[in-house]
Amino acid sequence: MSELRFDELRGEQVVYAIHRQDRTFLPSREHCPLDPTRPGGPQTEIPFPSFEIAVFDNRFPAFEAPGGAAEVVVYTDQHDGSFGGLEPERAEALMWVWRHRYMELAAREDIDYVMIFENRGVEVGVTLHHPHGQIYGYPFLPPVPALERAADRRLGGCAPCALMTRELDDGRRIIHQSAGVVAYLPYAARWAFEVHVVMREHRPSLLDCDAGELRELAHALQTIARGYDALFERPFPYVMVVHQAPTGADASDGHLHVEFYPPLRTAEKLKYLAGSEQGAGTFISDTLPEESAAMLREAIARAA
Amino acid sequence: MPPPPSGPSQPGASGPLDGPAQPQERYGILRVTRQLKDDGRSLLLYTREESDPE
Repeated sequence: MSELRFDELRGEQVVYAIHRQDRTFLPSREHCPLDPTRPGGPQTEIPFPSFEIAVFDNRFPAFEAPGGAAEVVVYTDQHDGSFGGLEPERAEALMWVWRHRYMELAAREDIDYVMIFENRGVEVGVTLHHPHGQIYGYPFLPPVPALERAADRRLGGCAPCALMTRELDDGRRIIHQSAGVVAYLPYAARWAFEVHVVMREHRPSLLDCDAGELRELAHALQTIARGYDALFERPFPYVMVVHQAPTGADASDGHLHVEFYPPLRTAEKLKYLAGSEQGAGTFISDTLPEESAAMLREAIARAA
Repeated sequence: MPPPPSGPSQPGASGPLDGPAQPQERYGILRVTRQLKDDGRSLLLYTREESDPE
């Protein structure tokens, strides 16, 4: 069981999950725990010879009942590949899986915030290469969604709605849009190729989206992921996080959007969180979002 | 579309996990099968249905 300690100086929780020190780390392909269990082969986390999408409790959880949840979402039984490379029908099905998990975890009294995410690439700490994501059910409201709600109050309404409108009016940082979804590099992007994929209508969570919107969201996310890979013609590392309304006692409004945080600033150079970012909390960027947006638009066109 | 799981999500099929066949649910375009792993952890298998009930 993890231990929570409150950092009074920063006003935030720190989670000690020391059992995770021994978690599986970059196993050989033959011993991937997210592969299906094949006849004669090693037992994996999914004891069946094939599957479509599987979700299970993390063997090395950062959170577990009655103090939250940690789940693993395996996108496919195929070891090689990526979220961007899934068949569109599978990506759409994944949106429904996310919706289902949000619904069930949100109903739990020990969970105040549900965060669906994917870490892609060793550059962001991936320990298993098989295409998968994770879900954390936090037993408290973490700082980022708390800041988003503070932005709502500061702007006098839904902040993502207001910021998306500004981006659409400006236009320079828009990289993809459809009837239901808008994707852009935000005006004050912290990462060189940070992208926000935002529902055009005010939708607090996946539960508020209809089937068509979920299909469009899947398409937009895959469009971004494929554009990333085309950008420098290499697998592009990222952290992809689904932002939704909080679910606990502090539950208030939110606006479903997905943020990508890619650490690359060139084909071979990583952005590190160093002195200013860690010591002052202030990002210093070497690139302008407008210029990165132009590069990403071209990459998305190449990948189409 | 890949083929559906050949494991417990097919009615009457017996999977590697012990115990009776698990109930199935529908959620949107998905069929959901709930399992418990040997160590008690939850395992959910999602299969896309061809028709959308909504």
